[in-house]
Amino acid sequence: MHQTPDTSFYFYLGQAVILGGIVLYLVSLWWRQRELQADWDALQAWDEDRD
Amino acid sequence: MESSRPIGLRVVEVMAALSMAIALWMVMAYAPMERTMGIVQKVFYFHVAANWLGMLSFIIAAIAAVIYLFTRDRKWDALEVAAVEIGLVFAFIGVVSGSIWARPIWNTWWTWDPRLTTVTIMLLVYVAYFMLRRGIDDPDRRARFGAVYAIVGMLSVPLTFFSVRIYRTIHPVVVGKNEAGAQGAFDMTVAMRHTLFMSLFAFTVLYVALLWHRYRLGRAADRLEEERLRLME
Repeated sequence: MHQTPDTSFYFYLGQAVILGGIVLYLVSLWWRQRELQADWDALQAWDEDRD
Repeated sequence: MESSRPIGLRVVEVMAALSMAIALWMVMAYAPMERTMGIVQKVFYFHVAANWLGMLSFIIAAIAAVIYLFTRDRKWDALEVAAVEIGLVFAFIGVVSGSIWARPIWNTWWTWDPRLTTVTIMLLVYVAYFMLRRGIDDPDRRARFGAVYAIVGMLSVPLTFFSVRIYRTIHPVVVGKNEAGAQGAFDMTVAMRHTLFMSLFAFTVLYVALLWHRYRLGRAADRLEEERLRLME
């Protein structure tokens, strides 16, 4: 009789890599948006100080 | 600089979250367990969906590149960069998840099979795209060179897609006939097909949301660069 192998470790590892990768990319987008906003604010503040 | 997200993007975000949740439930609970491979076969659903997005994204990048070369409108350059970046993320996720599936099924993490070789070439081609862009300071020149590269680089996409149909390979084929030596191939049941199509749909909606966000980020970076140049004058 055929016995199905226990491959659950690789399944959960695979799912974690896929979903974790997507979440990491979302965090990187949020982080870069935040950095960009900070650069923009710093530029505006510098411009106001110059005036 | 700070602008709220348009209503369309919010709708796509909600749709992406809902469809991803449904797809995950279908993978975990609805799709049946394949007897020969066990539960690791279920990596297949998101693995295929991730690779689909990788290839779709590189094609979208090439289309945006062609439009940029005709119009010289920087918004198409921003879309092209966004598509290449997201394509790289999903192609890489596809490779890593495939490698994890291969360990118990092929008894190795990696082998230089035609599919794995061509997908590696495709990844390296698009990593080099960002290296090329980083080496050019002038924004217009950078966009022009990037567009030409994105069009030429797109040739690696059909090469990767058809590699399992042209060469002798152990990689299974989802649509079409498997090679005699394919290891890990299986016949899909109706529930498996439903789960695969739901996964493809969910990842595609997620892709629209990610592409939109990344495009907005690229446009914001362009505005910052223009503002910086304006203030320096």
